[in-house]
Amino acid sequence: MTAPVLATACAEPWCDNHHVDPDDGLVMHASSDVAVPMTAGGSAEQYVAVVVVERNDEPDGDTGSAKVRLEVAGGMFGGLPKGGLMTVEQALALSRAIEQAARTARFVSAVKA
Amino acid sequence: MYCTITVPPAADAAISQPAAITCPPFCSQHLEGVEPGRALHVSALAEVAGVVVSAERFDTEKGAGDQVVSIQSLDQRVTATEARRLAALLNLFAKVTEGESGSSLPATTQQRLAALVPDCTPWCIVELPGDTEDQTLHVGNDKHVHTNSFDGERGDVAVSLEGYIGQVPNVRVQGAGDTPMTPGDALALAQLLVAAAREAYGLPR
Repeated sequence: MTAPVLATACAEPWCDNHHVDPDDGLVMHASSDVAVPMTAGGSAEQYVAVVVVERNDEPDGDTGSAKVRLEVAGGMFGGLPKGGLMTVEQALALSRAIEQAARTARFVSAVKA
Repeated sequence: MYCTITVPPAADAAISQPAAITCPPFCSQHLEGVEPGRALHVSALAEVAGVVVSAERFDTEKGAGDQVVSIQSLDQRVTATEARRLAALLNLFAKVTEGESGSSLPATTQQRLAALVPDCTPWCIVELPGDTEDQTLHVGNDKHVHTNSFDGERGDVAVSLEGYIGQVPNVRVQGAGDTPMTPGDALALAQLLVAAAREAYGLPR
């Protein structure tokens, strides 16, 4: 697979990071990551929950459906653990990040409709 | 197997102190002469919302009878929390009558009950051993949000509470690794997290 090419401009106000896939011409939009720190219970393991809005547009200009991506990346595992523990405050921060991303994605979908 | 024997109050003259040699470990009071040649051993009575639970054993002159768990006055409604406590109580008595934990328990049945019947938080449905011997980890029910990936595969993210009594529990998110969601799914997950946080603080949902 050929490496994606960074597009030069994007009209989406929420898009901070988009690429054009030279293989199929898809334009991949992504918002800025919102990271929420998480701690594993009873240990020093650290995780980061990342929330981002993504949308793939067709080469002919048709816009795809915007989705919210939640990733829990972390620390000692160096990959994607199955889950993580958060304090209540961290959970509330994550919920705010998810809700904000969902509202952004919903707004994008509404514009498309 | 349950029996429904009604035990007279402790002040009854027929009740005497347990005879250490012949009583089962759970016995805190026993009655002799209930029937000719029979003795009834009864543990301390424990109550959950009007439901009384005890361990009992009938001994005859020929030897010890079967140990049973007695449930009395169950013909009433109980809340979910009370039902969980009742289940914990029954589990405890099952272990007591099977003799699983007698040697490591405090001296009296009342103390055993106080030590082992957990004062669970309303969200707790499962208890697990903690990081140390004297800890019990309480875990809440998983609540799920189904998610749709870009390629049509379905997944789900689970949110639950877990922690130790007396501390604010943690919120656990499982299955969230690299999970795309529709905006509706994402909002549902956000609502779950908020609900879990409120539950952790004991606030109404």
